[in-house]
Amino acid sequence: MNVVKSIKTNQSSNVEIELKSTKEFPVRDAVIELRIGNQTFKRSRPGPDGSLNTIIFVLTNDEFVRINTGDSVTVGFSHEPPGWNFGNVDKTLLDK
Amino acid sequence: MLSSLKTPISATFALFIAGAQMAWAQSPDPGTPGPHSVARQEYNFGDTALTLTGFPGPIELHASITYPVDLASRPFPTVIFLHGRHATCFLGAAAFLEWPCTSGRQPIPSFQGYNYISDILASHGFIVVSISANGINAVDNSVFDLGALARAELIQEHLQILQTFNTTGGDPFGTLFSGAMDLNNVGTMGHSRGGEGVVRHFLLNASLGSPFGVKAVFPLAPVDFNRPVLNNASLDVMLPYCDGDVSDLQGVHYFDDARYNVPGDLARKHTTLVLGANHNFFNTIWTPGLFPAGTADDWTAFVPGGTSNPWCGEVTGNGRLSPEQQRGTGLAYIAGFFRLYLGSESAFLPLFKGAVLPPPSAMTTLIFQSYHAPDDPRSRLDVNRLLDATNLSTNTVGGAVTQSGLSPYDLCGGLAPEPRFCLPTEPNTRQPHTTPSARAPTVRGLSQLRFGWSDLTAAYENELPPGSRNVRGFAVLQFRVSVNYFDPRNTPGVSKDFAISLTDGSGNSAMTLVSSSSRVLFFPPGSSSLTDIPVPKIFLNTARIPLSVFSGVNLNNIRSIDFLFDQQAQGALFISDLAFAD
Repeated sequence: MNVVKSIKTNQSSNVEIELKSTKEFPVRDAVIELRIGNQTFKRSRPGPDGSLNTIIFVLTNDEFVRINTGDSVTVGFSHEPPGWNFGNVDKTLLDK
Repeated sequence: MLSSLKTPISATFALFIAGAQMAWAQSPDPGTPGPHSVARQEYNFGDTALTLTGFPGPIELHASITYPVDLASRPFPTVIFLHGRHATCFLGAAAFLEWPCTSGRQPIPSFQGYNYISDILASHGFIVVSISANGINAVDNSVFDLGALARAELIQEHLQILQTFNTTGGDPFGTLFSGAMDLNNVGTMGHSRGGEGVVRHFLLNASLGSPFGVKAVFPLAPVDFNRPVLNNASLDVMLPYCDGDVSDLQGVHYFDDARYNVPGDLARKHTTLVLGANHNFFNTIWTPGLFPAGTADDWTAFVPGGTSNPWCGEVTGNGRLSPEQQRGTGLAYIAGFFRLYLGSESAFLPLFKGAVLPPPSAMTTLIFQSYHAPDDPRSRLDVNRLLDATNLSTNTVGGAVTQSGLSPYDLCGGLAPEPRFCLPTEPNTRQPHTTPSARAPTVRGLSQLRFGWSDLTAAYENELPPGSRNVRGFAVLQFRVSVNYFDPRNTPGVSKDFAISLTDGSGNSAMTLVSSSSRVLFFPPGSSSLTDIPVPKIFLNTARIPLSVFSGVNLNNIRSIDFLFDQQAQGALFISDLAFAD
């Protein structure tokens, strides 16, 4: 099961999208990517508990502005098909 | 699970490789133990001992030193190992990504995973330092370069620590290593993200005035996210064909990008393609059954549908190496590389040129080399670099280039206006030479001659103009080549062959078949009906044709080189880097 846990503005005014999945995000050398619509985002960090079931992607505010509610949200490794599907993004969840 | 991986060579594949009509010379084996007894100790200055400017988390200063017990014949060449990205902590069978480890979790000692190589190198008189980099792994995806600079700075920090051990001495070793390490004769091996780390480190060290003498760099299954280019140090990029993590083999760019980058670069460059290897089995800590948490066979774990692939999967007759066999390849080539370039054991050079078969310790013969000779007129004469459209009609030495019956006959993969991809509809993972880099996505790849033929009269000729006709001082005619798996004129499982003719100024010709001297014209294995699988791949290996086989022509006055496609009625290849070489 894949869930968009939260969408939050952080102290640097970037937007953090926290994703949880029952299927672990493996720690690999290839780059893990968040794909929203036709845009790709590569900055990420693990969740605060170190669990491989959580990953947080960090978007700049400008990047967040460019995505649209309803765009598909997937995660995958670069040059590979998506491995996780999170449905469609809802930008109104920002900071709620 | 791994039982089906133990067949060393696919029967079919072995058959046609063995069919090459070669009498191979035997290389000495760099993977056998040497005369020194070996010891290993660790130093650990704490999980948060290092903070780097601009990097968002603390990093440990923890490493092992493997060394000859008898240090009397000091100083010894010094080799640094840096592991790649992996989970950092574990508890029972569960792996975690955090640093430092919390909640009773323990660090995963990825840096210990190459001890089997350290032991052999130390037994031959090397000091090997393997560095832990969990603190970088925990947060490197949050920095733009994905940790490359941090890894370089970590290596430099450890070299400074070693400098202290090597001079005044220091805890925890006292003066044990005083004068033991030759830090002007240093080699580095980095696995995966550590591979980009050692390349980036070479550049960092150079930018600081080269306080340490880094002479040889070995990226193992490396990433190349930022496209740094390394020149003026010996280089071997080892690439596992069945890599299920860095499955596009992007590290081949280190070789491709460096070839003609710096005029006068005297450093030899190599790639080593291991047909049966995956990403993880080079590190014992990442190998299932050898550590309780975080392990995987990356090919079967990460490649959807990969299990059923006839070459890299788990089916009967596959081409995969067992973990032990794969470690054999790493041992032979990593130990051999540093013994050659730091230890000056020149007997290993033919191994890295692809002039001899892999040694017994490699545990497979399905290993293929590319070789780029020093930029010295005694070592290499570039006949046709195939870098731009000019080279379709005029080669690098100014001779005419002609062809007949070739279609297509064009260049791909290099700078615009060449098409960026040689096989535009195929995935990047099948085209390592042109795969884009994550943080340098606009940088182009290897320019290759793309061609095919459909009858036995097809030919490709490079003339040598006066002044470039004396090739007697060279050992071989060489070029890099890959069979085009995507062109239906090639049959899966069937290798190609063609003739090469040299003609001298008096009109005398001598001819040989590529298969008489080289094994590289194999059809890339792994074809299946699944379109997203990362194999087969276009990967160019060097064909070396000894000039000694061209009897009856005057090597002081060679007028032309002809490729004659008269052995098979049709086919298609990619080639680059046509040269005479040492």
